[in-house]
Amino acid sequence: MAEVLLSVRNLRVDLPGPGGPLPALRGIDFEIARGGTLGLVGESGSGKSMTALALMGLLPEGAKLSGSIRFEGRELVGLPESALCDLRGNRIAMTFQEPMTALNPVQPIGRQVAESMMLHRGFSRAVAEDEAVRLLDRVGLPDPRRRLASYPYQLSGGQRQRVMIALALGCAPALLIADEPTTALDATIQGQVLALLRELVEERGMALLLISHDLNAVAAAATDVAVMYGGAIVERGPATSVFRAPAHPYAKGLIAALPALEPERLAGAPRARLQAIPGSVPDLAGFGPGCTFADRCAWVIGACRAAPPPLVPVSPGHSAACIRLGDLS
Amino acid sequence: MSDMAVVSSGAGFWRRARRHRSFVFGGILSAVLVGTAALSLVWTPHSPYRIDIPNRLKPMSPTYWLGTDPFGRDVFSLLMTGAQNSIVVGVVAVAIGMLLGTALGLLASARRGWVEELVMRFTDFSFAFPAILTAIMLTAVLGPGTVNSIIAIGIFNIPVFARVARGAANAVWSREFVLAARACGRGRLRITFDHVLPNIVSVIVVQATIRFALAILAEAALSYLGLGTQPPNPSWGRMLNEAQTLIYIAPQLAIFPGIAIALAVLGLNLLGDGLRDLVDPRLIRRR
Repeated sequence: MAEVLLSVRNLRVDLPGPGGPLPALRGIDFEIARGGTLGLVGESGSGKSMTALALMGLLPEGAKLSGSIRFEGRELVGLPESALCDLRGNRIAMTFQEPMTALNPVQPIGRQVAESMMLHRGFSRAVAEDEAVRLLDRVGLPDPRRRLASYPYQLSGGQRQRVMIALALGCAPALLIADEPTTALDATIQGQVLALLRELVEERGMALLLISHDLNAVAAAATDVAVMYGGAIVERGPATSVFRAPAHPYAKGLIAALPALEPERLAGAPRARLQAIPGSVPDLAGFGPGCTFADRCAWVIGACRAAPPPLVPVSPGHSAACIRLGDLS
Repeated sequence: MSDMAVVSSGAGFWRRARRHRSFVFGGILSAVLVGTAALSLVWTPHSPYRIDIPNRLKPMSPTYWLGTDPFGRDVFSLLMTGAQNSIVVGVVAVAIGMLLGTALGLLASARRGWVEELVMRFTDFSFAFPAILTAIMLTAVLGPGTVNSIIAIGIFNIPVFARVARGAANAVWSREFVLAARACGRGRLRITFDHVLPNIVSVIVVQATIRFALAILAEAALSYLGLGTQPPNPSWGRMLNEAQTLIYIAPQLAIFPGIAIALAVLGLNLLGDGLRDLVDPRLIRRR
């Protein structure tokens, strides 16, 4: 096992709500090795993005953070804003889901990419722009020198996502958080962006936290997976193990719900019924003290609602938070 | 959102602008106003300062295009020179309000919390007084005169711009690219200047155009009350005041400055409305 880069322990985030604090993250644990790739999967509202924002220290106003985030041996929880500013974009970088809104519409992209290098690495504008050209070229933006003067609206969605990645790579971060990097893109472009991320991880020894609700994306790029539901990690382990043999009822349902491409159907065979997990994610106030998935789970028993289930190992490195694992398999 | 505002300047902006009737009409009126003021710096039919009692209260004629006032001064020349006065007062007063108000609004939006609360309660406080009464009070305290009327009008423009800037800036702060900029490690000050300000410029410019018209009106009102520009410098507002007693004998003395004020304010308002339509992407898409 390589050196641990990021270690998150019992991370809790409470958001201010009308009837008292709402738990957005309920004490999650995970770690990422230097150069490792962790895929964070879950439905919208499961706390994936909240995890990313907590790591960056960019939680919405009024949010309460507790637990521990150790990054490169340093505790990030409770660090002053100025120290976090030095880390952000420099050691930890982040890309966002919708690159149209995550790039400043009234600033040329060259300046946006160069800016963070000028800020953290003390480059002059000319040096930073040369470096920006190199990075844009690396992420596969055609004709990068000329593109420096382009505005975000002049680029396609895939190109904008590439610009975002170049922007994040500017200071050679040790950890890249990619929040839904492929969600806003066409299927063909999705594959290219994921391949690019995987290449970058390999060539730079950078760790990647890939956040996506798209299981295919995570399966394609991540070595490890953590499945989130209702602000808790319900299952985690090596990607192959989790995808091949999901243990938690929610992870099982999630993977069963993936529509498969069925060649028989094209030949006229009746279509297999798509599987869905009944119900929908309740809002944050709707969770009881026990397992967050209890209300939608087919195997629920009284004990499930009593206390949050601990993660128990199912195979080497693979664990799931369910008290009925023994009865399920 | 104003994200297309700067982006749409360029060829597309002018193509849409030419088709926008109130923008074109307002633009022409404003151009005439500015052109007249500029021309009066080098040429007027007669000197607006020369008193010529034998030729007092002349009707319209080829020599005196709009007639003369009780002192024999040429009304057309007075109107031309008065345009200078209106523009200077408008520009400087709006600039004061715009710079200080926008700075306050940006500060409120960047710091939130008690700073924002303080700035906003200050604007509420100043809005509680009718603007023109505030200006009258200030000139009464500071003494009448052009400079003091500029200061008075400028001061009541500050809260207007503070509110507009704060509202627009708050909308920008909640956008993802600001979060992305913060994720790059940028501080609030840099984000304010690099990301927030450029995205609210169009809103501020539109507001400035409309406020310019109101400042001209306010200057005319103050001068009418004798608190603004002092004689012998011509001012539209004071021309109205002086015409008051002669309204039955020489109504043209009141009518022409009145028309001048109305056209200037109308032109600038139409220009401001047109600009707002043209830089607001929600309205562009609707068309």
